[in-house]
Amino acid sequence: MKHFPRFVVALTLSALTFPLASITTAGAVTQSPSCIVSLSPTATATLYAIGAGSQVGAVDQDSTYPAAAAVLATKSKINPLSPSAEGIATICAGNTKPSLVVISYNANNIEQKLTALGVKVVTQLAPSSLSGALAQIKQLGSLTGHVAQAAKLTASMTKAINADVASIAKHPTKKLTVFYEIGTKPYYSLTSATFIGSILKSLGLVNIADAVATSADAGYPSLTPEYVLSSNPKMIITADAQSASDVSARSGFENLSAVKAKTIVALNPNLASEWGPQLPQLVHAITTAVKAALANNTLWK
Amino acid sequence: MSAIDIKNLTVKAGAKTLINDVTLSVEAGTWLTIIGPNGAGKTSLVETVAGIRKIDAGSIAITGQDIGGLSERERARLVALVPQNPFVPSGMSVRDYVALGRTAYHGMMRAPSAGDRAIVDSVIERLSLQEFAKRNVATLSGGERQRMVLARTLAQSTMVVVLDEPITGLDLRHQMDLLELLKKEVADCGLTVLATLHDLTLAGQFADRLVLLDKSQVVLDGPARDVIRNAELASRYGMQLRVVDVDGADVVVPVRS
Amino acid sequence: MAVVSIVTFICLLLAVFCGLVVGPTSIGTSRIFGSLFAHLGIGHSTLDTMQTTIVWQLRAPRLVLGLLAGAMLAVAGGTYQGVFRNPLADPYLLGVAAGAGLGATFAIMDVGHAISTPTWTPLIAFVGAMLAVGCTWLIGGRGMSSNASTLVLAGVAVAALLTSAQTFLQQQASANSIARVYIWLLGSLASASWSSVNLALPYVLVCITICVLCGQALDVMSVGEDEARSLGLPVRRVRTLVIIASSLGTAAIVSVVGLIGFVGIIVPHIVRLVVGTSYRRILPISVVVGAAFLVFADTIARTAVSPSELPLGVITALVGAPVFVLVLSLRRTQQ
Repeated sequence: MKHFPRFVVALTLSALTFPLASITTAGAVTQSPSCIVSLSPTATATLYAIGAGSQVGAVDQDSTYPAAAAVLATKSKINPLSPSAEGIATICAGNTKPSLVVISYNANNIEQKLTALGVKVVTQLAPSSLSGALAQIKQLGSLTGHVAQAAKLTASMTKAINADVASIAKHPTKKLTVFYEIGTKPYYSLTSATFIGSILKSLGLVNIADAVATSADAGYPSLTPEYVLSSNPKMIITADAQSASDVSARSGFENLSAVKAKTIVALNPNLASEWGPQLPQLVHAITTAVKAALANNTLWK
Repeated sequence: MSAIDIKNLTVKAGAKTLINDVTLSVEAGTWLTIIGPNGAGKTSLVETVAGIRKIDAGSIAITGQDIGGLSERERARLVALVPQNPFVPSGMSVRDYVALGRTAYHGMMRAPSAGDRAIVDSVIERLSLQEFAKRNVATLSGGERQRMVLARTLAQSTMVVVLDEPITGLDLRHQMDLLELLKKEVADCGLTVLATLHDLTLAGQFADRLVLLDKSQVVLDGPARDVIRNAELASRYGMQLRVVDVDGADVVVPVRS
Repeated sequence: MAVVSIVTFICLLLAVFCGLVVGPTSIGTSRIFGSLFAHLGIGHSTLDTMQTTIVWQLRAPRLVLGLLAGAMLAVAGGTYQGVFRNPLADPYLLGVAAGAGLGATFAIMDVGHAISTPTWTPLIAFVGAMLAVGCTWLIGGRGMSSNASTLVLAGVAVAALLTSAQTFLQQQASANSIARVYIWLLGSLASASWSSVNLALPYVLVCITICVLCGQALDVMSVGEDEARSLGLPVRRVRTLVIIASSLGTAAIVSVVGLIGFVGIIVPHIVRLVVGTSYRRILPISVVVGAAFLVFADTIARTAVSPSELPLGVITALVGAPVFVLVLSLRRTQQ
């Protein structure tokens, strides 16, 4: 699974650095910097969304959204898990330094090395809440001189997400259990303590991973197949490119309520692993699925 | 003071007793050969004298020094071993192999001295190995190899040499050559030899004294001429033996019944 | 032999050259050497700040660490091959790799306790490695058994146990650190800095020296431990010394660069094919060849796909295997 390591690493490092803030303090830049290097797909999407796309000089190989970024990604081919400090420091036209490098994972000590080379590095780890995600967008806005656009973006994102959340009628009698799958062999899930988990919770979902998580899991526990089957979730959401038919075909799963009622949602893995401008789409996809599940009579007999 | 003084030696391997309360001694400048049926404990005895096996009870003294308390280096300067199946390290030159005999004389981490090298050269010459000196040890024939092992042993410059079945696998010519070489060392340099041999005739012809070992114990101990004529010898081997005089030399002949 | 020494020395110089001069950014050779001389007090450097940092904070510590790692792994592999009389011995034989891996996993995974910083991971990995060797030593009879294969078997058992413990930890706890542990296990000089050099340097220098000095004793051991003992070699002491020196040095290297494979087992063999079977010659030449080899491999790893880097272990195998096959076939046609 191509996306899994990147996703897991990027999205869950917030747990590892729990006491630390998810954003390194970085002051505003007075002039708009050119040749920004983004090693975070989320940051890349954000930069383009706030109008700073023309200032982006290079992106990592996983930054495939939007299309303009995908072109850059295939051109520079930076592996965010194994980056070359020297290579990145001289990647801009005329071997000049990038004016800013945004990372979401400090691979190979790249942060210290780039800083030693005089390159400004900003670390934006996976956030643990929506406000954290929005704060990162605002930070990129002030770093690139696009404060107004960033504010506009965060406002529209908040509005769309709140609308989706509000559109779900309260359902106190219907306990909508969900299994959110981020990996197989073994099954990895996430708890309500995580960013996406908090979204699930705000939509009224009961996450089966919450009951068995320990502090050692840091929000991303592994679940045994027996536990998943015995919990009999009414909804299954996959973020690891497993389609609904893949899930239904698993041995033992044919008896699950979610399989019988066909309330399995396969999210676009890229969408599910970013916390940037596409968040409203992610929330909307989940909301739509939740509404369908609530309306599905076979689940509530 | 004998060159080798073994007193009440007992050696065990786990529950099995290999050598049971053996006492014998070898005078300096003489040759003692140990004979006996298979499994008697002959190899174990020479291995213990050479320091490879642990002493469980009793003592072994070489030129008056108890080897039990000595370090490997100190003991190696007193007694050297020609093993029954010497390991041939392919890739090593004959000279380097013979030079291994000087291990006990230079530090573990120090190179052989000029004196060491001179001794190695003289031993190579004495044993007519000069033409082989640069060759890979694996290219030598059986007889040449055994001569080379003896050279290494002599390079160790010890007063006592122990040999375990030194003529195994050699043709008659090479057997005699090797034993004559050894006899010469005894005569010229006063070397003390303790050997084990299967061949009773050669044992009798080259040794000054013989010891018959059977079932881990000493059965006979005396001058070679007497031991080979002793009836006990035939009985321990479980066969009839006759000693025949051929031009003044004793030949031991097994008789078919 | 003199020819071999000269050739290997030239290779070493070439490796140092590559380590400093070759890289994704082209900085003029003469200007780099100008900067080098400036450091020694002669003349001035014409490099700008960024280039100076690239050469002296990025490339130079990586070069030094690469030389140390290559040298240590090669000589450790050679001494293990000598003391165990086993051509398949590598520096990770007695559980060093498994112990360091377990330590690093433990350190990297220690969620929220801030142990997973670059400072702690090497220390805990080092402790893990030495504990593993200690266990092997105890289980293997404290080196007192009459032959060394007991130690090897104990090492296999300890390594299996610790590796499974490591897998258990990873599985059990969380998905988070798998990528980080995996990358650590692959081995890399990418995080090299002067502080990691300082961490490993004293151990490695001392251990390499001891190993090389034991070459002669290993030659005596080649006739087998019993005969070596009868020749006067203190076999147990040699075995103990060699194992401690090799393990300590390997542990120091593994704790700062992870598990770099191939160098420890293949370099001594390549050297053996050229200089013969005497460890007195094999070990010192392996030190130089191993050092140069790893630096060459790392130069490829950090330059070939810039601005990304290739895993070092992949390069050492890709480059080393054909070289080994070449030397082997040349040797065969010679015979």
